[in-house]
Amino acid sequence: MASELGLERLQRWMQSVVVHPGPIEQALGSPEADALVPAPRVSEVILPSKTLSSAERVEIYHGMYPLRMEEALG
Amino acid sequence: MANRWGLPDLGLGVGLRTVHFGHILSKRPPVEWFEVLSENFMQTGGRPLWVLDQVVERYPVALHGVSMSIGSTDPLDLDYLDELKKLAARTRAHWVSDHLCWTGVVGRNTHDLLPMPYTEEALRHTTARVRQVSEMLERPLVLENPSSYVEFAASSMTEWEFLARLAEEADCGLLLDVNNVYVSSFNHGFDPREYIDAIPADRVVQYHLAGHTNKGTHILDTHSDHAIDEVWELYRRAWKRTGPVATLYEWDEDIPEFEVLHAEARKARAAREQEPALRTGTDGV
Repeated sequence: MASELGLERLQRWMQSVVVHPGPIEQALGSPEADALVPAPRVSEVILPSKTLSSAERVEIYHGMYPLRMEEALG
Repeated sequence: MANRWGLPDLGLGVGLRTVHFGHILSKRPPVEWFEVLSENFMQTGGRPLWVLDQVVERYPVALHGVSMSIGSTDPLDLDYLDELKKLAARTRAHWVSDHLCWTGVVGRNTHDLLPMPYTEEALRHTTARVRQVSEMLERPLVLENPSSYVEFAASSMTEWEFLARLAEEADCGLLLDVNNVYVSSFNHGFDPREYIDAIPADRVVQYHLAGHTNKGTHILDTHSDHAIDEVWELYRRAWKRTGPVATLYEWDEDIPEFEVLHAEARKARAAREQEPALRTGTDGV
């Protein structure tokens, strides 16, 4: 089960998605992320909400990453 | 003293921000305390440290960090902790806080407060690290509940259960961010009052209040604008349980003139007066 990744692998997966450039679909499907959690199984790791899919929820962090880096470097 | 360590209720404070340096030094506004963003004054010198020294001479301060990464599976950054300890001594900080989160792994810093899964493994891991940090800093670490946008399927307990158990098992303090409770309750569909009521009251040493941005499908913790009525209501509810606790208003996006920020912080006084502290009887501010 993808939900039983363990803390270390879970963090590696989430970071690999968050920092990957481009659309969220590409980030979820990148080789590094896909090796830990196959993209079609993201909902086994991140629960959907009533208004957002699992991918859309991770996308919030993914979308903020460039802004965070800009702030940090500024 | 409301908390178990006897840490003082510093009153109503605001964050020390660069855009306000000139105003603070020239006008000496009657703010009761400042929260200092630790990383802004670590491994630096010159004017920022000179300003900080001036502020410390005139106001009580507490340190608040964003880079400890207490929940990360990377090793703790001992150099960072050493610098933090030196800064705490220099500023005579009343306490040192950071967030229940991780900021990166495999040597990377994402500069974001990434969420934890609320599992037994994560609890054991974080508890051990909090104990190690508290020992190094020679004071109880204070941890803030973050706002979050995802829920992990692996979680076996709620955030408030995790936080309460962590606080007890690691013997740490809590910085209760009431806006973050509201933001996460909206994003995850829980009752924020249940969260507030479950927090161990005698471990809360500070409150955060802030505004946010409602995107319709979710809320972003932007620290922009004024706090909404629902957040003030949660603050009053928490205040009834904890008694007098230092309170800080955060404003980090589109930062207004200092007096606007200070006025928002002072609204907490009205909230305090509406809800006399049940545990200690009176509001001492």
